[in-house]
Amino acid sequence: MEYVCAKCKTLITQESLNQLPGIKCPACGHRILYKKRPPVIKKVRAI
Amino acid sequence: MKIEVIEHIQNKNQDLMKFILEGVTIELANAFRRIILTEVPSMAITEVLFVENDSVLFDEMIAHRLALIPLTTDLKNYNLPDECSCGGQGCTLCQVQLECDVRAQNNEVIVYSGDLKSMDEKIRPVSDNIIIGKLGKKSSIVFEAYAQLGIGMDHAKFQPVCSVGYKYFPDVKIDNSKLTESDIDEVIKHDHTKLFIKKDGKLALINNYWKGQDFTGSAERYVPHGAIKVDYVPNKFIFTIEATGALPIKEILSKAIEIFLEKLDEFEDQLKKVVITQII
Repeated sequence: MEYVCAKCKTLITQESLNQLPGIKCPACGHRILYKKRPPVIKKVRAI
Repeated sequence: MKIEVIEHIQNKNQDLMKFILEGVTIELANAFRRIILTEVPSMAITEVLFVENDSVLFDEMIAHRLALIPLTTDLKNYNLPDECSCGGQGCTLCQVQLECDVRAQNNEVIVYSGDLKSMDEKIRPVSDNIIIGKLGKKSSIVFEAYAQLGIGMDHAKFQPVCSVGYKYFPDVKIDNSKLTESDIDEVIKHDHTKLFIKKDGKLALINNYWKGQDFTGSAERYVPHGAIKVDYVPNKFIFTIEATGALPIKEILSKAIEIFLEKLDEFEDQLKKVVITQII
C-alpha cells in the first residue's frame, strides 16, 4: 500500500511508514496522507 | 394490413420514420410498439475493466456513462449471450472488446466516445461526440470495455429506439352550416400550423392535415359547439419511430415482426398443450 504526503507530495511506502510511531510523513512530519489507487485492474458492471 | 411510409428522415442527426398502419386492431399496433421497445436486441457495453482512472468521476459512474452510449449493431454475426454456444461466458460470437487510452499532458482533455477503439469495425459508437468525462492535467484514463447484445426488457440501454408510439388517424368533420364568416376568420387567425383554409367562403382542411400537429382539436373552442368535430378512424394509426442509430429502422421493424411471429408460434404450442391435457 502506497501513500502520498499532502504537504510535500513524497511517495511513502508501507515500510517507511512503520519506521515512525503513528501516522507521519517520514520526510516532513506532516500527518495528512493520501492513499494511492492500487495498481490492480478493477472490474465494473456497466449498469 | 397496409403500411404506407409518409416520412423517413435519415441523416447524422436524426433517424425518424412515420408510417400509416391500416387495417389492424389497436392490440396489434400496441404489440408492435412493445416488441420494438423491449424485445428487439441491440448492442451496449455491459462490463468495463479499469486499468487507470485519474479523472474526478468514479469508475462506476464512467461505466454507467459508457453503457448508455448507443453502438451500431450487427444482428447477423452476433448472438444473445444466453443463446450463445459459450453459455454466456463471453466469446467472439457474443462479445466485442472496445479499448480506450487517453492521457493528458499539460492541458485538460475531454474524453469522447470517438476515443473508444473497437475490435470489430461494425460495432462502434453511433456518434463520436458523446462526452464520457474530462481529465485534468497529467491524468489518464485507460480501460477495456465489453459490449454484448441485450434486450430493452433487461435494461433501457439495449433499446434500439428513443421513442416509439402511435396515434389514431384523425377524422375531422366540419359543419359549415353552423359557422359564420367571423368564426372562419377566427379559426384561420389562430391556426399557426396552417391546417385550415378558406375555400369558396367555407372552412376546409388542407389535404395532408394529419401530417401536422393536432391543432384541429383545439380549433373546436373558437367555433360554436359541434361545428368542428374531431373524431378518429378505428383501425388506422400513425406510427412514429425514432431510432438511436444502433439499428436501421427497417431492420428494427423486420426483427420485431420476426419476434412477433415466434411468439405466436409459442402461444399456439402452449394452447395445444392446454387443450390436449383438458381433453384427456
